[in-house]
Amino acid sequence: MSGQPALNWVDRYRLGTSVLMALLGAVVLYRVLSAAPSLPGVLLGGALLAFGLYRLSFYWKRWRGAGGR
Amino acid sequence: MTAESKPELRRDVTVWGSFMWGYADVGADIYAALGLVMAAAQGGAGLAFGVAGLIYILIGLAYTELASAYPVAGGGQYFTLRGLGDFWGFVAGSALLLDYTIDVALFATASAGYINFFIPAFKHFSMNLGPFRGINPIWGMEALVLIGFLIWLNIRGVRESSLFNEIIGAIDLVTESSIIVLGFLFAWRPELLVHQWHTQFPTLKKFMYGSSLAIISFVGLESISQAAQETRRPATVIPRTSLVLIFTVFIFALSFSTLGLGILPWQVLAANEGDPVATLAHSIPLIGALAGPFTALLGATILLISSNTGVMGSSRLTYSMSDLGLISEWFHKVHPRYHTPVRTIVVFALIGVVQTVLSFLTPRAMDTLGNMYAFGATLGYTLVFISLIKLRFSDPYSPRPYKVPLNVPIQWRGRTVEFPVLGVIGMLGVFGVLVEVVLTHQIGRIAGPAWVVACFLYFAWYRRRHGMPIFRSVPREWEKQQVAVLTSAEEFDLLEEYRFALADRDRRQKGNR
Repeated sequence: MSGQPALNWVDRYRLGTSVLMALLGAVVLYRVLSAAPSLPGVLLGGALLAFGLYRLSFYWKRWRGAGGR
Repeated sequence: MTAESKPELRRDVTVWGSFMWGYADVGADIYAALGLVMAAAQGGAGLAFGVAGLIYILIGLAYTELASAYPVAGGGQYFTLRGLGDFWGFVAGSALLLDYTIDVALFATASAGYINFFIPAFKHFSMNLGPFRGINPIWGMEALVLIGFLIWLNIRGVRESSLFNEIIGAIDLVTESSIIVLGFLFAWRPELLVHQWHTQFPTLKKFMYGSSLAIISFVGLESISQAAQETRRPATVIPRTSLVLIFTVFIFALSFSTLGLGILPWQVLAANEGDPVATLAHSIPLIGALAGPFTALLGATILLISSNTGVMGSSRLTYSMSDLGLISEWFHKVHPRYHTPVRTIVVFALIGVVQTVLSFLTPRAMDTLGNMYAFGATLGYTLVFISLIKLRFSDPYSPRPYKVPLNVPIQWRGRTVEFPVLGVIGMLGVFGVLVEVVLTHQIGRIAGPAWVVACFLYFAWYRRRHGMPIFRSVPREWEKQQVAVLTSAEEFDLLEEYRFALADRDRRQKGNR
């Protein structure tokens, strides 16, 4: 036994959308800051990045907790 | 009366069903709200959605706490009645009922608007009828046909309509996400967003109107709590679904407004207030030719679901109100075969029909309906926040599987109470929007209070006729009811916790004598 928790399809979906959210947030932030900084753009990019990373942190903790360190 | 002769609502709604019930309502709002908010808040539409969204998050957290603590049909009306008594419970109920009926009318109209993406002749049809100038009766007829379809669907029962919500909602989640990702990657120009922000920021009055219109995205949470009595293991399910829903909808609302202002001038989206998201998707390079029609089709469907949640919500709300002695038991009857509250479905959907007809006597039916919408929501939510705070003091015994964060422990009558700081901030925020509505919504500030007063006159007549007080509450056995609710919901751990808390209270009261 590897000790890794099995990921079901819901976990995989959430993991995928979290990665996508974080990447999109980074892209939006980069484009806003490099082209034309604006409050709504920074807010949206920051929110996407933060929310994506927040969700990913759960999977990271779960992976570490299962002995994947 | 035997159990067989008094049918109850079935607990049929699952985790996914509960999420989709809310998502179908609140997630669809952007399809209707985008054009309306763009027309009002112009280059500041993104900020209008952001401000409204932050308040919405606080409302969502309050509903999550209350709906998981009191998993019964009734939503905000029930919470207010528990916290502030019968009269205010009725006021909140009537305000939210107004919103559900407008929900039916507004989203059926918006759904027809997206159908008209394929029939531009219907979309742009305009005629004069006596004193009514520039009206579009074809669009109005389409909306009425859709409402008729929903009445039939809801009488058939929750199982069928929940399945309908779930499938289409899932497709919509994928589509909205795809539009956002592809739009930001291939079409979005931050320079255009900034240009519109700097040169076409609205006046304060227009911004207030826009941000108060953006608040129409909130009733979905009310829908989840309405569905609580039909949700399996509600205390476990509701916090999970609500929290995911809150952030999903916030991200979508902020994304679409920011994306829209970075792809098209706000005037284009405002001019297409019947199908703004399809217009936006249509303008994305490479995929636009396909994405536009597909989004229009999906928009028409998801908005129909949202209209459907209005029918479902109003029927559940009146079911609860009649159960609590606020309105006639005539509304309480459920269909012996389908177990659905057939009378309330028909009556309040027909009120939606009347609102639809009246709004189509104005040149901008969508704006007229949106104008009326925000009053009921903000009044109801203000009362819900006050109840949240009050219930922390008056009913600390009911288990709360989820609590609004940021609480300050204070001593109150010999015990520690967790005072919800975010509850106070949320209450002030929603009350601020209510003030905005009164200042800027020319129709809503008249129609909203008039509706509440008309409902109150009925309430006073009904209560007097049955020998019940009008401004005071009738005695209720809340503790017995809470035990019955938790038992029916199969939340046995919480039931144990509740009984222990009551026993502890009784022991302490005996000790003090």
